[in-house]
Amino acid sequence: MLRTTLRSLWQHKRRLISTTVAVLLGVAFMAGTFVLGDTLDNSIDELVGEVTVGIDAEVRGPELFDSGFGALRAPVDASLVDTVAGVDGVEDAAGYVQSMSGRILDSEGEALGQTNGAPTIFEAFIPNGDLSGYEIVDGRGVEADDEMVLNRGATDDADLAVGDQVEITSALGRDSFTLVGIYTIKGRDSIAGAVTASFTPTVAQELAGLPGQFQLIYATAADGVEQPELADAINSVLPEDSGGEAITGEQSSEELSDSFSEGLAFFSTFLLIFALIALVVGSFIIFNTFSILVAQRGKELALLRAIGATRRQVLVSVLVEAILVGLIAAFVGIAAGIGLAIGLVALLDSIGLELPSSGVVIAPATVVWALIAGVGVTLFSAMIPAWRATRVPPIAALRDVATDASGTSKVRAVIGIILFALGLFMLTPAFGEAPDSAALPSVGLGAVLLLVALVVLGPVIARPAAKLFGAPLSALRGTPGHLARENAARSPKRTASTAAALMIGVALVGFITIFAESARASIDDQITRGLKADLILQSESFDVGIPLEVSTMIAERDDVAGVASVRQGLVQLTMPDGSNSTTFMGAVDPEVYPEAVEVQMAEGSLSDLRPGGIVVDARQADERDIAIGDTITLTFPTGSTAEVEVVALSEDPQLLGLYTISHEDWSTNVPNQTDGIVFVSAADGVDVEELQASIEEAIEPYVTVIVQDRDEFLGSIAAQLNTALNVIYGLLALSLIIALIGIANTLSLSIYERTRELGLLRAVGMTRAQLRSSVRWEAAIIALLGTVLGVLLALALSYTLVQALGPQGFSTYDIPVTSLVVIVAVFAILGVLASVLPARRAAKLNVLEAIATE
Amino acid sequence: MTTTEPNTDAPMPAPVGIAARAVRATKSYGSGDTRVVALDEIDAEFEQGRFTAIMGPSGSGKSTLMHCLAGLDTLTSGQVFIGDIDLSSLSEKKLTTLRRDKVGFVFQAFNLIPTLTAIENITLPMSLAGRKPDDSWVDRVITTVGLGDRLTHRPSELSGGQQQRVAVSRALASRPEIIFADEPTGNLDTNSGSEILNFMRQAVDEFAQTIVMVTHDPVAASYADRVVFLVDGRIVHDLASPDRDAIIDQMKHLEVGR
Repeated sequence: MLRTTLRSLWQHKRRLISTTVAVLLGVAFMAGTFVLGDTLDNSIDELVGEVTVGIDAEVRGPELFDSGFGALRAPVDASLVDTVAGVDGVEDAAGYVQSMSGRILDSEGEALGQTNGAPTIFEAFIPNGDLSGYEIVDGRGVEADDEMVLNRGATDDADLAVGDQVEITSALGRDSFTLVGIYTIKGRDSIAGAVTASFTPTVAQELAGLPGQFQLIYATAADGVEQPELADAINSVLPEDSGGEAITGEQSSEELSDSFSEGLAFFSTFLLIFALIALVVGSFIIFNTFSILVAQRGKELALLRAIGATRRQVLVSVLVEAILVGLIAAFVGIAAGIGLAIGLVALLDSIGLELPSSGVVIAPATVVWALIAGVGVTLFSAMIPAWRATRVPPIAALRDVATDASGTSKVRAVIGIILFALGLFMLTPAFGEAPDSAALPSVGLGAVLLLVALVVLGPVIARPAAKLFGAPLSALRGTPGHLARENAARSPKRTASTAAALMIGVALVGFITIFAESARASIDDQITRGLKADLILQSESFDVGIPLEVSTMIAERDDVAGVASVRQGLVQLTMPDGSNSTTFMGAVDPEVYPEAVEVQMAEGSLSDLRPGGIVVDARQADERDIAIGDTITLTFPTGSTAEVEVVALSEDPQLLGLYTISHEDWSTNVPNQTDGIVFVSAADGVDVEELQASIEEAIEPYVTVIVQDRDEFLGSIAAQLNTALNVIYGLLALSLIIALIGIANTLSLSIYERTRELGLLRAVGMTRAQLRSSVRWEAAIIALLGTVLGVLLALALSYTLVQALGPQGFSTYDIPVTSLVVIVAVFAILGVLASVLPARRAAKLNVLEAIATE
Repeated sequence: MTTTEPNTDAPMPAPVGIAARAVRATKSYGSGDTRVVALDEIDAEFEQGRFTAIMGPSGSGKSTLMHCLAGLDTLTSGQVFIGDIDLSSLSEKKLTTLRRDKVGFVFQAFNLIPTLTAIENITLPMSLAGRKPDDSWVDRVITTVGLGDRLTHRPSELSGGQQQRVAVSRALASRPEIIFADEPTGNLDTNSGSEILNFMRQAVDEFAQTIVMVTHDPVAASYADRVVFLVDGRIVHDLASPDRDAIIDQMKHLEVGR
């Protein structure tokens, strides 16, 4: 029996190639993600291990709050360095402080490093190479406050040499230092491509806004002192009130690696979601292929049954075939995944993220998961077709092979409708009076249920839908069009599962397209309505703010009527009910802000904002049960805390943010403040374009600051959304390709099945062109069915999510009609392209062989 | 075609020309020792308005001859003509349109497109050509074969005999120069078979339709005006106005002769 299976597999090998590819692509994506993740993880471990190898103990401040990217800790007093250095068993100790709030300029005066690439780090220079991992390869270490040293990668890129004056921009404005030395880090030119600029501790503290404080103190152990011993010894002398703690170098290194790994894991999970989507889409293709193959082999299976094969043997024979397809797909997929990962590592390298190249890591888990996914998906998808194969009665051996044109059962319709109704019901929490984020899990489940319902209902819808979409064809394309329509409607299950694979991909594409458009429209809407300022200043880099002197300078100009700015930073809020929330909070000057931006208020007025007060977005307030008069406790990254009273509730989250305090409170608690955004209003009679050009010139020294007019500002928001959208499109592309392979596959199998019929058509005078056209239009109908269902699903789900996300600032549901029309058209066309090969094969059919009677 | 427009009032129009012709038609497969000759320099003419049967044992080349005459297969050497058109000179595309416009087909089985209704199957060659069928003619054909109430049914809803009646109607509906029938009654019971043969006879007698039929059934062949016997790719006998017994005699004779 096994031999029969293998034979049959070999005979159908061409038909199984595209099936294998459908699984293979998903497996490759998954394996690639794992390999990339493991490789990056390994590189980071290696890098961190190398750089921190000389550190035996680390002293750090108490944890303030979780920033979302790891724990944020309070700084420690600089005097602790001497205390630590005096501990028995400590050989050397040094304080470390760093900030990522500026850029260094290259010899041309341009900012070094890519806008969103590896970061620029300003840090305290540690002369002891054991502690820093740095080795000066040219010049000397930093000795005076007007000196700096740079990593060799940075000086190479910036074309700088020892003795040069190096300009930097930072929160403090623009400054100049003498480059006195160049170093490598354990022989490397950079740490993963970062620019590391080291200054005296005093300068580094100033740049970080932590005068007299360090973020960490590193210590080395005297000979013969073990790391735990050392940490214990330091802990015993740390002052109680410092709240700090000493940990071993090993633990520090591990925690550092872990925090990077966590970030990577997030990235990997994100990619894995798309790999899983690809696998799900692939499973439809497998299901379809095996269903069709089993139907076509009905006669053969019946013969086997007639000569005594048991049902079990038939079942096993189909499943073995599935396992073999899965195994091939898994192994080729793993190989392709490894190739993908190597390519991506090279890509990361080329954009400046240099990693230790210790080779790709292929963990056993990667192989195991790829096998589980490849074989599992194939086997699972072939289960129902295999079971169906066992139902073939032996008597069928004597009948002609019939296409599975079975209609759809009432049970299916009923189950589908119940699922659909249930899905809709799960979506309803999004439409309440005041939806909150608690509605999201239900909405998510509802979305999945709707999708499943459509898959179940697919065969019920397929026939009428194919007839509907095909109706114009009969009139426009004559007989080929008519036949295309009839063929698409012919076996609804087949058409439905082919279309379903496409539907999933299109639904996701449509969903994020509409969602992004609604986000853009929401932002656009509020900004267009509320923004009164003529020019907007922003920093190109998220981590680098606008030095305060910029807004001061602009405010002094005669051609400027007013300047208003928003300062931003990470803050933890402790709500009246005791819950904590870490958020990016803003601070404004209530006197001038309304002149630049008109914010609608739900309760109270922006002018009520004074030191000690906070304005909260009305929908946030609603969700978190905050009312005017409530007290919120703020914890700043410096460790200071402040209690503020809710004084007003605002309406426009895009214009004011969710939580806003006054400039005064901000400066008290955040020493090195910068502006996140500066609004400029032109004086009466001043030409905005001229003003923009003039300001552009004035801010040139602050390399990362850009000035935009209102249109450019809105355009840049749209551009950011488009970038995100394009990334997701790219990741979904694979699923869509798989779905298109599915269309090609189904058509090939159907055409094989219709050999006789096509032969007859050709005999009575259908030309090759007409036959190709007929296959193409059939593909177009299937593609259209999948695309239209996908878009409908996308519309329903995006509408629901935008409603549910109202509190997060979504005020507008906007349907990008053009984009959706383009999506439908593009996929109908791609569906047609997918049919090119099957159509060509159909047209080349040998008429005589096709019509020959045995 | 226009010159041979049948005069349906005349009971039996005299043959006025040749509908199809084979000239030294040869079809062989392989080469050297393994060369198999299916048609061996056959010369044959099929007159307009007559019903010709081609008979012969299996492997005699009768189907190959029909396929080559109908433009479904190509010769190794020699020529075949439909009317004045030399098929060997035609491109694949021209052959297809020739089959569509000038040839009618009735096969043994799988004659109909399952997704089309009976009437759609009947008018298929014309709709493929983008022509409007001649409604009164189609009506007359349908009435003759007696399909009136089954026109909107799909093939799966028709009996085998009804399906063949649809196939004959399709062949007649476009008024082709010649109809080729390949064992049209092979899959039918005796009653349905004789019905189909009667329709074909009627088409020749009343509509002056030219029909060439391949068969191995002497009863079927006895409906023809003329029987051509093929053995090993050669025409060995040509029988005019045959009856069943004469055909059986001739068949026996051929068997013995081998």
